[in-house]
Amino acid sequence: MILFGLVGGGGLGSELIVHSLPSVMAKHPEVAPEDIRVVYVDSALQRKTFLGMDVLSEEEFLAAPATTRYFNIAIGNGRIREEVAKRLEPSGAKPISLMHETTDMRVGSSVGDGAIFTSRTTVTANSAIGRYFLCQGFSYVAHDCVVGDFVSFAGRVCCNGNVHIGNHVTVGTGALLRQGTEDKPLQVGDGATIGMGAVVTKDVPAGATVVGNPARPLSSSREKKA
Amino acid sequence: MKTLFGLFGTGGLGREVMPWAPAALQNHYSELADGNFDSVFLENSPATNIVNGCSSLSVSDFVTHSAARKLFHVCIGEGTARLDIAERLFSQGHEPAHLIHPTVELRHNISLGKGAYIGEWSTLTTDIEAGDYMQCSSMVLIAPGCRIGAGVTLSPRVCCGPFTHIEDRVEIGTSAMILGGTKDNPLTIGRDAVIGMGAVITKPVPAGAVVVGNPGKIIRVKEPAST
Repeated sequence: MILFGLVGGGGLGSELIVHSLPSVMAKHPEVAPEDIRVVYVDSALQRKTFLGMDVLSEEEFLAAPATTRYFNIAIGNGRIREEVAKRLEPSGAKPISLMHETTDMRVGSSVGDGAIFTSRTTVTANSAIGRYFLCQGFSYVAHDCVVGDFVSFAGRVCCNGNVHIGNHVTVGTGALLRQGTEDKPLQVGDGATIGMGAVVTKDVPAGATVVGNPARPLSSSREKKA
Repeated sequence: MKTLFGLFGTGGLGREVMPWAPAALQNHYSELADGNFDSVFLENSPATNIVNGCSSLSVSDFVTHSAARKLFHVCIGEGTARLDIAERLFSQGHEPAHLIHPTVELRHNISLGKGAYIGEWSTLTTDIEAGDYMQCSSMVLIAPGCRIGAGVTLSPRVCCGPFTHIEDRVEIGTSAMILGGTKDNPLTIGRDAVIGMGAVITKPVPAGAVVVGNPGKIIRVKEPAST
């Protein structure tokens, strides 16, 4: 019995459950679907089942009978994904990437463990993406990008070519990142947040929150209004 | 002698496109449906490398190559450079190929010029005329009644509303939107204009203007091109 636990029974978790069985089956074509058990892992969810799947606590998930124990984390906040991964990985559960059948992953690109790609997402050519990347519907990462660990893209994010994104960066729905060059990639620092619909034309410092068209730091746009 | 397909440009777009280019050719050209052709990158400088597992020829080696039929496509974002290279290869007797991703939706009464590029999940609706070497990237929507000039570049997710007339060599940035044309009064984007990423355009744009923001504002006007 292969056990797959989707951590997080919230909105994202409810969207991703359909990706779960196909992703495990793709990795284990030799295993019959009835020998794969898919569960939610969420201690906060005060119910025994969710969308027809059993809901287990982390302890129950790690104790349940299984020959192989896989997980992924349906939580939008990259820092929380990191905490969960740090708890589960040493306990012998392995991350497995969830990829929708329409995801287009092209030659020369690499993606770390525990990634999530929902429908119509694209990674084009020669980009390197870190661990536990969350890439939601219609978003793309174009050529020669470098994306760190625990980065989260909402839907319709356009990350154009030669953009370098640090760790724990969150990018809101429909945000646009301007293309950099090989010599001078556009840089988004660790822990930065890019607002929905933002048009990022310049480097974003670590920890900054930028919004608007063109994107500016949130604090200064507030001061302007005051 | 086999057919040879040369994809010019390894800077970025070319590498993005090569993984699906052979399938697009097989899909679009019935005589190539058997897949009996070779695909190579083309480069200006002496081509020394294999790029992403695909061999690369210099343009001069392509020109003198003994293949019976030579198709080419130019993957360069900058319209003027794309037109220069494409017209040179065309004048040397090579055949411009369309690259149209198999997921593209082409509805009715669409006329494409030479060597059109249309990326994944784009939709061209009805009554659309496109000039030579148009580059229409992924997820683009072109509404009815649009005219697209030669060497125009449409970045991903651009929306051209109904009756938008885009003149030669215009570049439109990612996710920019143009809306406001009517059948009697089309909205014109003048030649060589540049529309910034995310811009929202509701009024005509003069030739050579660089427009950014929502609503779109002219931030400068380029020197007029000689042609």
